[in-house]
Amino acid sequence: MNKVWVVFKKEWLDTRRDIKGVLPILVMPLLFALTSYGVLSFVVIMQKDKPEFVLSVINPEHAAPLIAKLQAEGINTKPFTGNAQEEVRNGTVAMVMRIPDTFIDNFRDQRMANIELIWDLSRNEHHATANRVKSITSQWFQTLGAQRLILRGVSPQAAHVGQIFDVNTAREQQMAMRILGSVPLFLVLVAFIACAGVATEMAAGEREGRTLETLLMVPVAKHWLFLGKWLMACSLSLIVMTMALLGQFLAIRYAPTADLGLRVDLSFTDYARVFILLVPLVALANSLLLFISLRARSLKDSQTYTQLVTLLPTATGLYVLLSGKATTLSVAAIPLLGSQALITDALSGLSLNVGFIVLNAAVCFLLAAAFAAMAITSFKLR
Amino acid sequence: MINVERIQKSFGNTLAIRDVSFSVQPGQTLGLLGPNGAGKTSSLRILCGLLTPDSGRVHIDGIDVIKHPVEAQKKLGVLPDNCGLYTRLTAAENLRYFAQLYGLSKSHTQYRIQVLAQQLDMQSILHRKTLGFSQGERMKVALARALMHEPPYLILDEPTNGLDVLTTRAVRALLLQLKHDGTCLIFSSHLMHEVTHLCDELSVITQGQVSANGTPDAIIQQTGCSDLESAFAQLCLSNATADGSIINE
Repeated sequence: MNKVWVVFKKEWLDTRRDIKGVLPILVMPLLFALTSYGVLSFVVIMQKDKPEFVLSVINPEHAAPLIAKLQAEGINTKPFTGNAQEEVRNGTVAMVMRIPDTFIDNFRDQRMANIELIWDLSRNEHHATANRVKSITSQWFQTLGAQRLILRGVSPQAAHVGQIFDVNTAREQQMAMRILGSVPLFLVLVAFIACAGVATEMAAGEREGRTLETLLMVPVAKHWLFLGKWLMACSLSLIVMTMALLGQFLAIRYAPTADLGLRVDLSFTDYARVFILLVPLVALANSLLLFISLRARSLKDSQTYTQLVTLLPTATGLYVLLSGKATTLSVAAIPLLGSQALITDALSGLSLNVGFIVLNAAVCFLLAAAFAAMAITSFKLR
Repeated sequence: MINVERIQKSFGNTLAIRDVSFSVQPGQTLGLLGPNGAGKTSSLRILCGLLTPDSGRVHIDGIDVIKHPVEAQKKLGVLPDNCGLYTRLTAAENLRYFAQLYGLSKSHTQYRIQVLAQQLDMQSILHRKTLGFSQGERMKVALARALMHEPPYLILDEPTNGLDVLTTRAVRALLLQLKHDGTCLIFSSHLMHEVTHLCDELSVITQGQVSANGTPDAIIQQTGCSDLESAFAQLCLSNATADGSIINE
């Protein structure tokens, strides 16, 4: 074990002096923290500086009570003349409500009197406003329908068998995580790629620098040499990880989440839980990176392959971010995916299933051991 | 004693070593002489436990190198052809790292660094990072590293390759001193005057096999030539002709 310590110390010394290689690793947590802070601040600015929405209406005079209802609900309107579809497509106006000329006759004759809302469904930013306009208009129609039924001596409830209401079970912190969804992805990325450059330098760099031959001639078993390098990579990853968690803590604490009506109340215990969840991933990532670097024929080869590896946490991170599904046993059993899902749960303030944590850690450590074994067999001259 | 018996090694479809055998007694100096690509470096790498032969046996003081490479490596000091230094570490840090891997204590490491720095005249470069060292400076550090743990067997792969005259003379003088002190030396070279100066025994390797064995004088006599260079050239050419790859006009 003394030899492991010798290799560990030498690799630290060598890495510390490689300023060009170390600087990006240390900057990464800072960049991620700034990104989180920036995203939150940007959302707040977007909310604050949003220009007042004015609904363009063709023939507003045909449905004056509806226009009054919309204005009463806080939606300003203005008359519109021109080619509505063309202007919406061009983005000149957000949406146009068209009240057809037939509306008055149909309304008077108690026939179906339809109204069109012309808008571009591919523009995500207009969905909320369009839904609000449609909701207010539907309410107005329902009220009118109910009044007509009352005039005929029929209870309006006869036409409405029931109604479905949203009952929100999401905690405020979970709502906040919808905006901070990138945080678990950042953390896993740090765990996974923090030491990509260092691992490449420690393994493929030995081959490229022609020091591998000399190193393999010392009377020390290869697994001790590998263990020294692996421990060095893991220790650096954990330091960067701690920096990343601290960065996220500061970003979330000082970001104006209250202005969005969100509350993110992450305690030291929550961050500690995330750190513990990331430890097995760090072990796996560094085994995999060292294995790839030892298998590579050159430094360039190694850099190419390790770059591909960095796509893995991005892919699984996006899946977790977009799917929003609850963590299941099968998800927890998949190393990267499970880690990200569990971290998302931890940051959302949900209680974690201990079985899932143990399963995820066990799979990560098993894979780490398998990659380490393969790496040790690749630790040779070619 | 080092004993290499009928080793053979292929890399893919290329047969690098067909049949190489040699043995060295403690205190003796053996030169592996051969043209480029003859199989000298591969043979030495097998001896150091870096490569596993396809067949054959290698023993150092009775230790099977193939089965117990770590035990065998304790007895060897090796100077590879490329020096292999960590460029972000100073010369002293390079020496200290390998001394610790060889299990030397801190105080003994420090003592050995001072002794070797004096012997190899490298005090001025001891605390400089090895990045930017000249070939001679790199060679000195690599040689010091090979000698740190005072090994009974020293293996040198073309030790004076690329060195200027003064450094070559200094290295040769050190090797003679080591020989005088009883260290067994095995080194590969394709420089005739070097092996004539240093070696008790020679093994001429051509086309991956030993084509002649013995003292320099015996080899000269065996070929009927007047000097070692002519004898070497004749051995190389006759082997190539027998192999059919070169036509000797």
